[in-house]
Amino acid sequence: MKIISNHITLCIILLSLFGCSQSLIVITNIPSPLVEQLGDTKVLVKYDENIINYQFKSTNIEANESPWVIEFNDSHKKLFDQVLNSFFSELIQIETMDESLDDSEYIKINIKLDKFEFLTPSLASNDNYSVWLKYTIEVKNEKTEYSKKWVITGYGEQGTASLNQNKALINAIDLAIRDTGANLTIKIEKEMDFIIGTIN
Amino acid sequence: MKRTNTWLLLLLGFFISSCSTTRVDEEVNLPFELIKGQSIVILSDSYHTGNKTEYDFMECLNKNLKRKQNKFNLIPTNQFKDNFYPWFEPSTAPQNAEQLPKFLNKDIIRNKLDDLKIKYIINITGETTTNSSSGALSCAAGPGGGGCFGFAWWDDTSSYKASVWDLNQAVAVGNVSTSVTGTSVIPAVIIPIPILARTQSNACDGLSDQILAFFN
Repeated sequence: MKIISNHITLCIILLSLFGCSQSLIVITNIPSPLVEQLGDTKVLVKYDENIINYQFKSTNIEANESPWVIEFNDSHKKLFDQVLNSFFSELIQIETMDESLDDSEYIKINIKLDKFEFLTPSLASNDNYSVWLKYTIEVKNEKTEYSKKWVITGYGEQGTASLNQNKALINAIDLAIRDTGANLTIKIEKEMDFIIGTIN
Repeated sequence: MKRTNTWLLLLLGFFISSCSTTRVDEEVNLPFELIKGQSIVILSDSYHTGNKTEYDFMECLNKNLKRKQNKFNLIPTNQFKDNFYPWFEPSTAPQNAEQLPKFLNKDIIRNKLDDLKIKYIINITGETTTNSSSGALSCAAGPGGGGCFGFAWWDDTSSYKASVWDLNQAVAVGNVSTSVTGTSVIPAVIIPIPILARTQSNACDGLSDQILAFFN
């Protein structure tokens, strides 16, 4: 009897510890960008581990806020795959930046997620969830000696007026991921001639 | 007895529906024409400009305009944004008609607009705000039961403007606006009875009717 009662107590303690966290799964569908493909250039891309599979766990939150666990899975990777595939003829994922191709024109890209931050309505004292994403993207073309680090950001905001809090935060994350894609598309369009070497 | 109930219902209906005031406005700047079969899309101004048009207001407007007419083809907002990604995201979309030429000069955007026969963009700004609130309502529960007592009220204003952009001329041809003000009350004697002024839903109905009138 004592063992059963101990088990029940343990279950209650575990539930009170883990049962209150708020879990979200991000599944963002990024449409194919409406851009013109740029010649026959291939792209070798190295994704950092947190681009391929990222999980966010909140720490340092306000006393009245439950901790958040947000599973991004491969949402970041899908975003970059989609944007890069729309510009380049072929996308090849590599493990290290030392890998190269013997033939044809190619560029190398290394993508890292630097920051994911968000504000809840109670932290910001307003009705919105706000989300920020920041990435460092290293772009190299050894042939044209183009080598630059881009900082690409994304911002999303969603009001809570008619949505529950999980849906509102998911919408804000979706908007931030889409915004990242928009900013990266604009950056690639602006720099493309320099990257592939039509302008030196 | 039946008659008393009918009177009570009528009185309740009068209170519920008499709580809001609607003001509408229309302005036409340039001549324009909408041919049957052409397409229209509704977008809202970006939150980057401080605009806070609600997600459900946009959904209501899309639904109303699709249901109330068969003259033009309404392309749902999200479908349009996906088709033209990333050129109509909050940080990239044109914020006024003056910014249209920059987008329309891109062949890839121009061709897609032509393929989908999109002639007009209706750009929505505005939001629903609570102006003032007052009163007090308290509820209590005990072993013998529970209940509420008090009276609370608040004023809402739903104010929205639709600017019509002609994509062939790259100009704003006119705009319509709707402003609905209403007072909601919750009297409570044991059971609270919310009598809500549905200002946002009335503004949605009003603005969609005005948009249809603008094109007729």
